[in-house]
Amino acid sequence: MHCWHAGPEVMRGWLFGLLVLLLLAPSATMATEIRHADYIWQDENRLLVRLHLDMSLPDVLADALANGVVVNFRSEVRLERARGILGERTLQSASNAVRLEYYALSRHYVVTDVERQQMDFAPTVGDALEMLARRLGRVVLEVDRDALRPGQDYTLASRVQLDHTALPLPLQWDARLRGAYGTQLGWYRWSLE
Amino acid sequence: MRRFPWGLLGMVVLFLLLLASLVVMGDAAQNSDRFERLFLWLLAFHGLVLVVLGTMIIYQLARLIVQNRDGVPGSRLTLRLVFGFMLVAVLPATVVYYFSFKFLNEGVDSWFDVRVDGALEDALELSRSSLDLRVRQLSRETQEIMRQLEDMSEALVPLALNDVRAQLNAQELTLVGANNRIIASSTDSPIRRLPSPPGADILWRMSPGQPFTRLEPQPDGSLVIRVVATGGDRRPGADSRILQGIYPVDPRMSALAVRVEDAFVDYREFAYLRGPIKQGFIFTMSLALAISLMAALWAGLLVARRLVRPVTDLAEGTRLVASGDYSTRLAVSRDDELGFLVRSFNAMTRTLSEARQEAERSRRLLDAERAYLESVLQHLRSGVLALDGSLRLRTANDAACQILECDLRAGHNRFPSEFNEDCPLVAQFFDAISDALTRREKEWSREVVVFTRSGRKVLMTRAVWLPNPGNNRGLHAIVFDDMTEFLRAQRDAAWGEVARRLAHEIKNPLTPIQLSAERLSRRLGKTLEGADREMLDRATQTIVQQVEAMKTLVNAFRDYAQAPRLALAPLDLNGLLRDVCELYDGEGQPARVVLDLAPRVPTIRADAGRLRQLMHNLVKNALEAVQGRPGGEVRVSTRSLEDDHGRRVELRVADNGPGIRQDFLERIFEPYTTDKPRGTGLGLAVAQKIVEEHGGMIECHNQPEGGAVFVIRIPVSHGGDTGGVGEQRE
Repeated sequence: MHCWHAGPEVMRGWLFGLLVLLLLAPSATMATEIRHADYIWQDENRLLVRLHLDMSLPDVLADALANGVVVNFRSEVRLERARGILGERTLQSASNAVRLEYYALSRHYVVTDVERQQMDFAPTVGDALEMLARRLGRVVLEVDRDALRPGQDYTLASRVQLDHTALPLPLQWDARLRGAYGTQLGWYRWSLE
Repeated sequence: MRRFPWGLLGMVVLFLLLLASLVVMGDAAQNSDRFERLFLWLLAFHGLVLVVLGTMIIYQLARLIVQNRDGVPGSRLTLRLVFGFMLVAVLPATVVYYFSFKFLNEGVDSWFDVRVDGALEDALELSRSSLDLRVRQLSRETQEIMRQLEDMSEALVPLALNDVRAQLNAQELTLVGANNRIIASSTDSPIRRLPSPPGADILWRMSPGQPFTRLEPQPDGSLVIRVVATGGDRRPGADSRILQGIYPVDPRMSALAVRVEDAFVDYREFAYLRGPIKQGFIFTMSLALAISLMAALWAGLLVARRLVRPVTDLAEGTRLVASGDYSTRLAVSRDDELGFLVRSFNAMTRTLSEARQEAERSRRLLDAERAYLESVLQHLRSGVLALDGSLRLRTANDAACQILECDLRAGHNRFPSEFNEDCPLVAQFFDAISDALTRREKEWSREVVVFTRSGRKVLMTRAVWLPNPGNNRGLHAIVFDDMTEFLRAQRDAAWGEVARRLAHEIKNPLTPIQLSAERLSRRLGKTLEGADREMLDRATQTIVQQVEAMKTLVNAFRDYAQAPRLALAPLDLNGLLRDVCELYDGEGQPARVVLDLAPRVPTIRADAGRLRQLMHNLVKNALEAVQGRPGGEVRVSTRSLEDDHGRRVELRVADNGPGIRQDFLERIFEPYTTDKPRGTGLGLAVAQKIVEEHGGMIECHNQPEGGAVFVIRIPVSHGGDTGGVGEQRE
């Protein structure tokens, strides 16, 4: 009986092939970036977090938008307390959900704050994205200021991501299988002074 | 006991799991929440199942191919069945897949029609046109109102706005002054929220003299028209007033326009998603097909193995039966035709096994019978021979070999004539009985005399012809006994009786005869003289001498006839021989006596006196044989030997005389047999008697180099001396 032994050359060949396949696979384009973030205390218990976003849409998502697909984004903000090697503990969190769609009847893009049901209208995608960034970039966090202990490190974390679940199911296939519409960012963190 | 089909059960369970997961996956594909929650898990599960199934199938196929190459029974059939199953599974699946793929592509494409597309666009355009009419009308009216309000004092503006709003059926009218300050506002609802001035984006997009208009959908699904107008041709700025009017669209028209817009957007979205929809369907279909094919292949492998296993078992069982193992029993695991075949095979092997056991039993019985018969034959003191119809030797027992002095077993299946050279007795024997054998006499007996180097043998022979009724062949059964010793013993007994009577009847009158002759000589000798006296002396002397001779003869007969009274004791035979031969070593002896004694001769239990008498008889006999011959020599030798008769001491007395005549040699140990003019003829007969008293044997034959030799063999253990036999060293 003959046994097949994979030599190191063969293994290297397989690994190289795998690498090429990974490189050729459609990769997610990071289209949204938190350029800068800050906050102001609106009152004793309300912290307004402002995210300065650079927003653009991947071509495939812009194409989908132009063809009537509604695109939902969500911005999230967390107040975290550092716990050493145990990581961070989330004390408070808040989010904004904003919907972007094309309104064919008026040939405008509509940006809707889902929670407040406030609408903005933009004639172009660029204008719509600016409005979107503005809507997403204002998150109000309810914080009990007295509960914050002096000397303790607190961190604000925020991120903006495309809501995959709100996409039509066929596009979710693409999103899941091919990683298209890659708008998800990692957490952007900065200290709460 | 039937084995539980775990493999089949596993296959069914896995197939049901796959089926369930495919159903769940199809359901999840229709529901966004479930899709989000389950899709990756289902995909991972299916991928894992595919990998596991693929690995198992590849492993099983590789194993099958190796087994096929190694010639394992059943592997070829299994491989063929598997490929058959693969063909049966893959071909229709491929056809179905191809047409499903085609129908799916064409079916999804058929959902979209250019005419429907165009109609929807037209409908949307129509909605836009009708709405544009309303927008343009409201734009003109708002601009007209703006002109009226442009220079109106701020105190009058609210009333004017209310009037105009009511007149135009506006939802809201707001007049904004410098720095975006709201001068006045009028709404159709008192609970409506505070009016908001036009946003910077609106102001930025406004052109001088051109009002800004926009159709805006509302969260409740209705439509409003927003119009922002400036006074005259002035640009909106710090020093100009701006009027913003929000006008509701007629609910019926709004609903129709929204429905048209919704339909258009849905259609566009659907058309846009055509590709992903097809990809999703094809992916699901391909996954289901791949899993189905894999499951079918696996099922094919299991089924093929299950189908072929009885055939493999049968092949292996047949091979075992062919190699003689009838104990093979195959497990019956099915109730179908293959199960019937296996049961029939088991019944066949059972029958064969029983038949073989019966045959083995018969063979053992036959062997036992044959062994018993052979044992009886071998222990018979009579010689037994069996010859077939063509006179080939079939059977001979030990006694026959011994009597005929030939290893007849080596001559199995030979004709008697083929024994001429190496077994002369056999040839003589068969020559004597060949006529009766050839005639196939049913039963006969005769006395056959054969001649050996040591003398003649008398064989009492009886034979029967046993024909075989089944065929032309038959069997001669010949039984013969060596009667030589018996006859010799008979003769010896007769001679002993004669000698005893002679000694008794003759010896008694001899003494009176001798005394009477001596008395006659004394009485008459005094009275006679001269010639008469001389004659009387001669006559009486002759009578006395003859009486003495007769006494000697009678004493010899007495010695021969008297019963043995041995005084057995451990005896150094070599010492005895030296003592005896020393008497013959010296001047006046007719020949030289040479001793050739083996250095290690065991001590025997014997009567020293009788053996001394034996040696005197033999040595004197030998010396008489070489008397007067130049270079005459008598050689006395001993040696130890061990053969079928046990451990014995051999004593040889050889001379280089003229030898013994053949006719005399045959009866040399018979009493009163002598070739000497003065011998009694009892010396060798007495010698033989002494040897037989010691349990030994004596024989005499001529030597090839000349002369005769007497050979005596006496057992070492004779007289019960079994343990104390010492060995003497010379």
